[in-house]
Amino acid sequence: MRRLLLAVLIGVLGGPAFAQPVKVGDLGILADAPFYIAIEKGYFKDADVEVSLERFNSAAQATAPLSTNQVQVVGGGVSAALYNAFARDWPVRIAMARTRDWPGYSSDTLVLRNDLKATVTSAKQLKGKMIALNAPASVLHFMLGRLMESEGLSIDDVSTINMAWPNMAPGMETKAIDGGMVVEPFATQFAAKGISFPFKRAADFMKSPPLEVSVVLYSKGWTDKNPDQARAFTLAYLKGARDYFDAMKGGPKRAEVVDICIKYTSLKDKAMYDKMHWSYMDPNGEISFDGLRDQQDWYAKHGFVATKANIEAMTDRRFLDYALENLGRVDDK
Amino acid sequence: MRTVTQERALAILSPLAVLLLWQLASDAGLIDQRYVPSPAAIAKAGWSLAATGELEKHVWASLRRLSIGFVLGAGPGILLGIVMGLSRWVRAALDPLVAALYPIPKVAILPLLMLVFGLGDASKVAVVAMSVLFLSIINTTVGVVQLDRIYFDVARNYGTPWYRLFARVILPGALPTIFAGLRISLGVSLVVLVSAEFVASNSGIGYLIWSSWQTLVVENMFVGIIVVTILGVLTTFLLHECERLLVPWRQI
Repeated sequence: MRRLLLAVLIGVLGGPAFAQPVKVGDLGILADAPFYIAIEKGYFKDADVEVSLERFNSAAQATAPLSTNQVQVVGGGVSAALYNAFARDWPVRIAMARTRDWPGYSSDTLVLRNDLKATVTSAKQLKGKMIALNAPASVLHFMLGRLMESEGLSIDDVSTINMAWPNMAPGMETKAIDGGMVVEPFATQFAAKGISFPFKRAADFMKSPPLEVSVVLYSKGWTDKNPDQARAFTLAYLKGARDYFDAMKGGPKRAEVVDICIKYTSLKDKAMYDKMHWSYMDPNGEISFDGLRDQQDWYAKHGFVATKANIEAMTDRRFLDYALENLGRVDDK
Repeated sequence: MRTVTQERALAILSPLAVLLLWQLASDAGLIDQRYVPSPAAIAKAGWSLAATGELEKHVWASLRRLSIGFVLGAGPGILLGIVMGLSRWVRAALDPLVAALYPIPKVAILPLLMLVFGLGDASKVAVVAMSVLFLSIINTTVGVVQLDRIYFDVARNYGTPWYRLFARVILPGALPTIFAGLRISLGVSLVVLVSAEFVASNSGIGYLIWSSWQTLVVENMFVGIIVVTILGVLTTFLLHECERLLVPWRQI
């Protein structure tokens, strides 16, 4: 009996500090790489955080379970859904930045059919064209709107239709659509197959503020109940994000990071990692509030967001600050 | 007569009671309105969508696809079903094909249909027609096969021509089963259409539901869901009335 009690005591005291695993909603895309790197390289383990992955089809689908604390962390695409979730007072908070478009690292791309290469050379010539989007009121919808506005037109000057990225290739081949708003690797894959060419990347015309594509979202229910675990998680995650940053810049960790991404994401073609644009990821996790406000204003102007949210109030950077205090800042250029 | 009136009153009152309970539970805070809005909030959102003409646009888009697809699927389905019911050779030849093609989830082949029929209404009409076609074939075949052979023998003995046999024996005999199949097909085609409108569309009730959820405008999503249920009830009622007219000998 005494032995049994001792064993239980050892189990309680000597076990991991955070017994509950953190459920992370992932999409199996390159932007989720810091999660995968932190798992594979043991950063989460070192921080005594157990992580389990829950695969979702889209970030919008993951927001509801995040708000009810069924998952604790999600890499959320910026979209009208995010601002509407804030406006509805769903308990989700922005913890730090994730991906954005930066010159040389611009995954978000408008691709056009190859036969339009000679005739469409400026955004003005997109007027009346049929452009496919993967989701309405998403970051790519906003980007297309900004592109049209950059030459005095508006989003209403193009026709849009919603379809999944893989379906855009046959859509262009059959000339049902003129182009599509895609991310990598689709932009590079479609070009390699001779279907389309990258007409504009976000970083070509969206510089200040840059296109803020996704952020890391935490469940408020989780951070309220377990702030220590959230701090430890953030520290490990940021290490993963910095490894990604190194790989993105072609640093010494690139080969290792590519192998991890091949293991976890749907992009299995190793050569493609050297051909395509990687999304920029801030190694300090700093959020571009100007970029987020700019996007919210656009969604509100076009009727996708009825009530604008106070984005700063929806951000909880305590955990990022903790990680930065412990890891220090690095040059983000 | 009094019983019929009471039944009708009950049919109207029971959904109203559910709505009232839902509203009371929302007001009392038993239902979190951030996720499930109250009926009053949904009605308000529905009114706004109707006032801007957006709801009408989506409803007509779905109704157009549904009605064309339903007719295109049910017409050939019934004809083929009658032929299969009358000829055991045709039945032997086509039964395996129907059995093989019927269980294919029609929405799964929508990308393929989009390649063939394009992005517009045609691909959604085709997916509805395909889902109605097989159900109509199966039900009509059963309806014809189960006809008592004695009717055919009597007709043959009296030298009844084939068109009269068809009009007086086959069709009236099989109609109740055909209508039962059509009722099932109608429900299935509504489900298939809404799912197809999730995939590649920029109009229709399915699109309204999907895009509202994608942007987390939850009230509009519920408006879409409620409109689908209303469409289901109305179209079933319409079919029910057709059945009453065409099959008057059958008490429904």
